[in-house]
Amino acid sequence: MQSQTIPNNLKISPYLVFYVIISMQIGIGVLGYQRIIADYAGHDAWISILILGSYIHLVLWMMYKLCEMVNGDIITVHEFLFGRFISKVVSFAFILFYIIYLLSFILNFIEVIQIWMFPDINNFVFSLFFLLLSIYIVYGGLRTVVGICFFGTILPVYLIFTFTFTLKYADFTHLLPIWEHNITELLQASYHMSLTSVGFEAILFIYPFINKPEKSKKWAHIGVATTTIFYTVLAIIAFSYFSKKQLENTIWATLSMWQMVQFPFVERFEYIGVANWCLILLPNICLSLWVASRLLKRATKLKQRKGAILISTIAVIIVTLFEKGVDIESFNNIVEQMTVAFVFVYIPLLYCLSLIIKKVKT
Amino acid sequence: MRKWICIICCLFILSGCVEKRIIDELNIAVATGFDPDTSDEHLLKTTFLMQIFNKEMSVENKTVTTSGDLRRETLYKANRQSPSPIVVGGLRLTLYNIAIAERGLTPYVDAYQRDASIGKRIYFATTDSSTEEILKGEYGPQGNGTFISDLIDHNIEYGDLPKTNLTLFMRDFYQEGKDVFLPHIKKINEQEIELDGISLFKDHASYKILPSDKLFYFKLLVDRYSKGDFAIDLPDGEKLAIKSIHSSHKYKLDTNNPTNITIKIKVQGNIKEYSGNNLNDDKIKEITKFIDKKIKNECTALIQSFQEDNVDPIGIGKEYSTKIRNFDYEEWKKGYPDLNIKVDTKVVILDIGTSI
Amino acid sequence: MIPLSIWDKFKKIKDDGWKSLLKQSTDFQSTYYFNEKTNERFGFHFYATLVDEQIIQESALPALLTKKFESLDDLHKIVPIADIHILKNPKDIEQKLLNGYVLVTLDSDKNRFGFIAAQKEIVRSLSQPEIEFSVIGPKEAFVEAIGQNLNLIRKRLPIKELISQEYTVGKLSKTKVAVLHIEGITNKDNVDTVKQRIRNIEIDTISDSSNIVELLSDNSNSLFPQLLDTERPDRVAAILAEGKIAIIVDGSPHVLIAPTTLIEFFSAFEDYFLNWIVATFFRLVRFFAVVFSVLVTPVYVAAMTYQYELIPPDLLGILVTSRRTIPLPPILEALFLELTIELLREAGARLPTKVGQTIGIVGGIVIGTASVEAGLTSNVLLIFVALGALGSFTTPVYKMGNTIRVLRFPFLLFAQFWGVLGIVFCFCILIAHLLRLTSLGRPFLAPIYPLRLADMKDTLIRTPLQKMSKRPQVLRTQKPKRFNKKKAETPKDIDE
Repeated sequence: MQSQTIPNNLKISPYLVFYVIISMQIGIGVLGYQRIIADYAGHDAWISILILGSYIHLVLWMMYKLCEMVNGDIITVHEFLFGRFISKVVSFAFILFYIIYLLSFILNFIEVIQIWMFPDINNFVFSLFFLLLSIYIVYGGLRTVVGICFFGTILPVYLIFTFTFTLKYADFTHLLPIWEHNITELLQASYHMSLTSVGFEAILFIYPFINKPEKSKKWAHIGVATTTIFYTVLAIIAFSYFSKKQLENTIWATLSMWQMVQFPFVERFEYIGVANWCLILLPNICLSLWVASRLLKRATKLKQRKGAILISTIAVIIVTLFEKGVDIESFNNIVEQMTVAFVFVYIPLLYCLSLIIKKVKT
Repeated sequence: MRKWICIICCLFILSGCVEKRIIDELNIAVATGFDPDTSDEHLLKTTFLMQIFNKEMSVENKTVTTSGDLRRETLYKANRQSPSPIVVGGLRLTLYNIAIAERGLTPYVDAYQRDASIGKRIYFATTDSSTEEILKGEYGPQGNGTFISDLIDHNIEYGDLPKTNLTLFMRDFYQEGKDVFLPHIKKINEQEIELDGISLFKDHASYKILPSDKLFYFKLLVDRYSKGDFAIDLPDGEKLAIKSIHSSHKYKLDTNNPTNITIKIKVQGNIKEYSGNNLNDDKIKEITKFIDKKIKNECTALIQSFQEDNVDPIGIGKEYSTKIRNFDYEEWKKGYPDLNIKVDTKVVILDIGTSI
Repeated sequence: MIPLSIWDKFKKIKDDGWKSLLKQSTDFQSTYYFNEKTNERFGFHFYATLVDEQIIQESALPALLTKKFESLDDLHKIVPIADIHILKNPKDIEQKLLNGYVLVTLDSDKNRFGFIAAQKEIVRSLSQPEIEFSVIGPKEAFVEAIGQNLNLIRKRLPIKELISQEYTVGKLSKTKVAVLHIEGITNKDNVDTVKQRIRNIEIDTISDSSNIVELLSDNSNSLFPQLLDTERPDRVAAILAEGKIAIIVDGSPHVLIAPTTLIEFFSAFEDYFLNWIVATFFRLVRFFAVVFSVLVTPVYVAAMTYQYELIPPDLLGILVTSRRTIPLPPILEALFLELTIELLREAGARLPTKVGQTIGIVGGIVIGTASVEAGLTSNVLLIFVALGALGSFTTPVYKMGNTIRVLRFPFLLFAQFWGVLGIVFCFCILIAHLLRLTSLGRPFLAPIYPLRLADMKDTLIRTPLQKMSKRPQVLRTQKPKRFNKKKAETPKDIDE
């Protein structure tokens, strides 16, 4: 395994972690998470987001502890705890994880485009172009990828203001009475919120690239808090905008809310919104590709350039073959279970284990 | 370099991938109307209204009428009569013949909810006459679709039509504890059209038209905040026109006995016209009191009629559901006609204009 | 004083082959004189076109003829010119002669060669800046001569820390390139990088500083210029003080500045002469103009070809009516008009000024109205294209303006491909490209990414000069502070 010393000029400033976290957390799920959580916890589902948000803070703290322990990424942690062989196995699991993660973005986005814009957009062409662009970005190194994260967060900020249009139609009494659902229902909703909220685990892989990582902790937590608040507010707006049964029938609540937005020069804002999502998804795809290709490099000594091309080729092939026959819903369920297992179950377990092993070793 | 040329070539070859919809090669429908099919062969007869723009910027109305069982089916058939494909992305208005509305709007709503290309700010309205005739009229240079939707639009903004559009209709449509309503349009003659009240729905089917002179009171009850104009006959025979510049309502549930509910209405308005002379302070006080009573009586009468018919366009059921935990709507619905609903009004005359 | 034109005698002095080449040039002159005191014969050899005859006639020749001239070492004593070399190596002759020196040979001292500097500088008088014209502020612009340009800068920065180092670039052109920086302020690494890169340049001729830009760029395949060029000495002085490096190329009236950032290309130097609020407003207008100019036709194509729903109903009538008779699809219509504008611009640029102006007016008005009347293009698009072209001309740096104009074509292509989605996608490509660009290894998008809030004071907005008390962080200067901020602004209470 190659050394983990990263030259300083390739490292990123600690505050950029804030943008990495936000851009990774906000992905395709935002377009329609309101319906999914409302299915379980109704108008109280915003509480579930807050519950999950606080849990994410805890997991993030554990992640930093794990990385600090070895001053390296999660693979180094595994190597330190379980030896080289296990760490290799784990890195392949992670590569697979990130390929599937990347696929879920592209597939879901293609579905959104097909329904809202071009019913006949070609899976192959779209994924090819998107991944070519991603490869171009990944070739620029982590600094460029993080730059895309930065712009993927900053430029779409204006979209937040468009939600003020829906406030005119919002009826906040929909949220009353508060706490009508029991804790199990709330936790169920939290569980289904998790796919929308993950992405912050990228910190496990970029940790060695952060300049003064202890300083980045603060920013990571601020990032998580920001997305949690954003999700909560957006959920509250959606709950007050849609009536309960209506929300059950609305797959992409966020997009449907944009249908009320109107400017003197733009009649139907949802088209702009969908197109803009391109910019929001790009960081997710690029960073996933970067992580996957980097892990591949660490595990097999394959050049990262070649690794990125290899992974993208696989992704394009799968996206092209992924016709309507396979239900995207069930694919998403698999991704959800996978992410929950990895981020919310495995990491805390690993943390506990690391404490025990450290005790034993000393 | 060769690599890039290849990529650019690919781009050009594949550029025929997405279906093009070039603006001047489309027939953009601005309004549709649904009538029952007179020949009884199909369920409905749909009229599509298209705008043809002339060089002089005036708009020519062009309609296509077809019959079928599904909305989409009529659209396919309409395309057989059109020189270019009819698209619904520019819809601004949908009219329902009252006969269709009485059958229930459930089959129509789905299409509007499902089709992403239809805007969600469009208006629904019902009408007594055939929608085909209404859409075929000549109302103004801006085209019929724009004319009717603008008519509804400004009456919501400044007049006494309660807020309505597809989004709000859809929300109430799916809302437990609130019945929907739609503006009702009447055709006077080939050149004129008027807003003639509101058609009330019971279980998603139209059952009654609320006349336009009750609209102001209805709007007070339905819209949380509203504006509007109304005229009042005073007991001394004088007449008075009032512009309400701000009004709001609040619900108050009796915590001890939930069957008692009070609706508190607050109206702030200006006197715009008075047929008598000399509006002094005493007179204003007297007028205020009278309006207060008038609004209270009218609103109470409206609510009572709703209770008798067992409809709830105001959304009292929804109000209950936000105030009571684990609310059972079916149970409540049975007790609805016997609810003790009180109306409390407070009228404030802010100013009386520039003369006394 | 009998001038003897005896080339064959000179030939005997040294036979090395080079003079046969020299002889081929008709402007090469060889003349022999006799000293009055010693009666020794000496020769003057020079390129008549390269030397200033006046120097020879008035300073060199009278002294050599009248004063005692025994050995070449006497040159220093008797000729009233400072730049005199005495060399032994005949290989140097060629270089010196070509640099405008006069070769002095003495019959009694045949192994050595004396050189007297007599360069003729054909200097253009100073003119007003044409590309970066400003209504307010200095009206001087650089000229072609490196010495004069250096003089203009030194006048504005009379400090000994201003270091100028000269290099020769180009195997044939032997162009002089001077690298300027302020010692103690400018980052050492940046200076070393520039010097290293200039030394590494391998080329035969340099025609202009633009060649140097291309050779120094980190990514020469990029559409974006990565070094800023300016013709204003005041700008160069200000930017040197900021901690950047200037590169003067002989024969080019444009001085290069490195490292640079994207934002810098959108700031006109006049901004610093205006009130900061006005300047900020102008900068925002310029920025808006650029965005508008790049996006307007692609958005038109996207809305017309795919997303008609985007168009507000009130506008729909205008657009549909204007496009009714047009046989071309929106993309071809847009390309046709864009290319027409490019054609007009190119024709205007190639022709003499007066004719160019006429072409612009005739083309703009006649072709525009005629094509609308003929039903080839819609009048709405004509307005958009014209406004877009206007917007691209607001860019203060000419080269960036060209980039902006080319930039809209990929956007058009993608708009045709995927509508609004294509535009956003193309925008993503643009951002990715800009992120990867560097200027001398410094990020091109600074201070936006990496975000340096302190540097934001002079980007899209321009804050008052007193507030800009620090040098840009991204340059990593040796002295981050420009001046004492507290001294610059002394807040006073009311009525004090």
